[in-house]
Amino acid sequence: MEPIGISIVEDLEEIRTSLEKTIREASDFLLLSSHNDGEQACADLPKYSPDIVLMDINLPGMNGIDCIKKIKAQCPKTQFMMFTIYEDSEQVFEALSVGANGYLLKKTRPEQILDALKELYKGGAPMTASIARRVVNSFQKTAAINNETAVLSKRENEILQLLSKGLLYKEISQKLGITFGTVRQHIHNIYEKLHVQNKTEAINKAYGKW
Amino acid sequence: MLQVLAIMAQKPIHNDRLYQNIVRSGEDTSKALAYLSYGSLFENTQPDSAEYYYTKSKKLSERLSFRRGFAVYVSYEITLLNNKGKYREALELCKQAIPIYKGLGSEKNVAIAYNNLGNEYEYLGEIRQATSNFLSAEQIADQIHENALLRTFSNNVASVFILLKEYDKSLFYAAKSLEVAQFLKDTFGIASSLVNLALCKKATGKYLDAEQELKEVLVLGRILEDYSLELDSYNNLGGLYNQIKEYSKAIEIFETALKIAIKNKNPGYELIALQGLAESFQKKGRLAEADQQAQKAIRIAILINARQELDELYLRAALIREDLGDYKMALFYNKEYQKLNDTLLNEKIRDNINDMEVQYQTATKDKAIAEQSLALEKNKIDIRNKNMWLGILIIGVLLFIALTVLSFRFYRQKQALNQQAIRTLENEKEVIRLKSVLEGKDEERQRISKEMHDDLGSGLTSILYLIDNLKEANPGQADGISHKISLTANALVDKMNEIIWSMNKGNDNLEDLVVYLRHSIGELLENAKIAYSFNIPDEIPAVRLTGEQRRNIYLVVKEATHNIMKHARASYVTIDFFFSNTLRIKIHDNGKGIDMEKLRKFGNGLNNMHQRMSIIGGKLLVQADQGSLVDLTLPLPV
Repeated sequence: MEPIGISIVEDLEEIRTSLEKTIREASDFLLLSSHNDGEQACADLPKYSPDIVLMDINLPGMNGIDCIKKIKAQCPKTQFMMFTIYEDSEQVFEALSVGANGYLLKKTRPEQILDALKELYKGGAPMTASIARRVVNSFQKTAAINNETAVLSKRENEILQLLSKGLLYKEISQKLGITFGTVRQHIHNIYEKLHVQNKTEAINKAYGKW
Repeated sequence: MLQVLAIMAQKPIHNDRLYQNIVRSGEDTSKALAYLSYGSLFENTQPDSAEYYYTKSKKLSERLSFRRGFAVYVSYEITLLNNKGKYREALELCKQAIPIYKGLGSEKNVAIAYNNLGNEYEYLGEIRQATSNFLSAEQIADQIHENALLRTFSNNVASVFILLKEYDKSLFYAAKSLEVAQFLKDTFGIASSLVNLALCKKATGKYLDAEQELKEVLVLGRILEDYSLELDSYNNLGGLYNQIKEYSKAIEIFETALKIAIKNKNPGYELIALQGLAESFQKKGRLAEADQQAQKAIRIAILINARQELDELYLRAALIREDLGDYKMALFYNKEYQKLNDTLLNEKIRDNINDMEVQYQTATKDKAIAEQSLALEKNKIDIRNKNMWLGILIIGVLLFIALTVLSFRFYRQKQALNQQAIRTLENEKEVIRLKSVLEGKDEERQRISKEMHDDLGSGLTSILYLIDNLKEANPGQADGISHKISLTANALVDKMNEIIWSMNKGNDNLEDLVVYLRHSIGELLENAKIAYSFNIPDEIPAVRLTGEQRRNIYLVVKEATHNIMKHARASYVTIDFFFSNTLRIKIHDNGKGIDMEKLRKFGNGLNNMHQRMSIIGGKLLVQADQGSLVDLTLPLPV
């Protein structure tokens, strides 16, 4: 298998170096770049075109969400994994709306971080009940405004409803008679549709010499 | 024929592939920018060619109404204008760039544009205006944490304050510049900050400090092989020695500076060295040599139009000639001095009128200096913190959140109080009702602070102790201790997650609680590899619950689940929900049941659960029932 190319955006040095170490020492991964601020990351990431960017949300200056907004269109092959302290946060949902494909809690152990990255690479994605509820709301709102925006399939809707009732992936897969991986794949598609729905206006690339 | 030549000069032919690509691309915004970067290749060697491409870019941007393109064009064009000494034109262009970048919301570029404008004012000798613009640039860079820019801009501010003879302010900004430069490990930045620091110290009579700093600059200049730094150091050192009457030393230094300036063909530095030499020789009584250097200096000053220096030189030349007994020439120089001095003075008066307005702005900014000083201090702490322990970092984050939560509660309570004041006038009953609300809020506040105190306080304290232990531990013990730190910190983050969830206003109904319980308890059991099932009626009543109710119910169910995982040796758990006018949750496992005797002895956890339920007006029942059953009820509001 080709190694998964990873870039890291994280301003706290301790966390960043420890992540770098984790990625560097893992056999299936390749650390492409590591950045400590959003603006620099925005400028550099398109050059590296990583498979996955591990992105902190709260960065000094430009935050992780704005960073994704800005470069998502320039890096169509790149997936963004948010790196966050708290799970139940408006910011996590916002990030997922503008183009992130998943999130990881900062307290996650190194080996689990690697698992989650592989999972995302293979097309899976995590979602909690509270995020699922926000996603449901988001789709209901736009459905009311505009019929042409991305619409969820029946199965996706079903999965989203179960998730928002608090069921775990495993329970959903048993209930619907599909595999665990299929559930993840559906969630991944739901995120993609969420992105389309929240597509931001054309990128206004900052330019300037001084 | 002449016409043809003229056209040739205007339209340079550069037949390389890069240019061909630009020509072939469509008339769009990226082409406008490409012209600029292509033109800049000729900036130093063929300024006319550069000008040609820049103009093309400008026209294209205008055609496309591409405002940012125009602003970028400005930053290129001013370099050409500055090289030709057309500062006034450059200044007008810089003024146009600022509103464009502001409109685009690009703060970094706004800051750079202010700095460019400041530079033009400085070149033109309008120092107050320059100061005002440098300060604007500096403040923005500080706000958006652009440290490299902040470094440059702070030092620019320091330089102009020296020209204004406001040394305390200059000292502040030079020190700030130095600090940032050291943080960035920017050697050039360190050196140029030191130059300004030294100038301030020299002007305020701290000669030893100034000498020391200038010598450091010299060392740095040599390391960087930057002759302008070396000359800054030499010329200022020479000036310093003149000031403290060590003329021999001064002569030696200025002569070295002169050689370097001539070698590098830099007339500005050469002038300063000559000027210094003239002074040193004159003070030493070596009048012939003094005269010779002064004459050379006058020639250069005229050549490069350095009028302030020329003014001083005329005066010095007059005095030297007088001492030499050449009264005719002394008179001549004196007249030249008077003439130039009058002109400069008149200009100064005119500038002063301009300055009034600017001074007003500067005064406002002076106030900001004190605030900036605070901010800088904070910055320092930030930087230090970053180098500290991850554990300490988490403590910082948690305490900050705790404070925010508390102050938010205070704020809400205060708001409610204001409301109350208005309604007192309207209705006595309302007052009574509001009072009870307030009491409730107060209880809520106390509850949260108690939770913070109990849960977070104890966790943080143990981390602190563990870190202390770690400092003295041998490698064998260290692993165990760091593991404990990591467990404690982890538990703290979990607790924060729970507190945040329970306080989130978006989660305040029964359904949210049920969903949250289902997800998190499911996860716990899943990880413990215990099979489980939830039975939840489809209809969940739309009832609001307080944060306290949600949190206590959650903690009791979690505690019950933990007990099952730890003690029951169960393979299956069912969790049943019932909704009527009460909420009822039954947690049943198929484990070995409950040893009531043991439970009474070590039943701290159970007591806790009872207490939690009674706080929110609910009930808890624990009993053995082919395994064990935890049964909790909470009356629901109607």
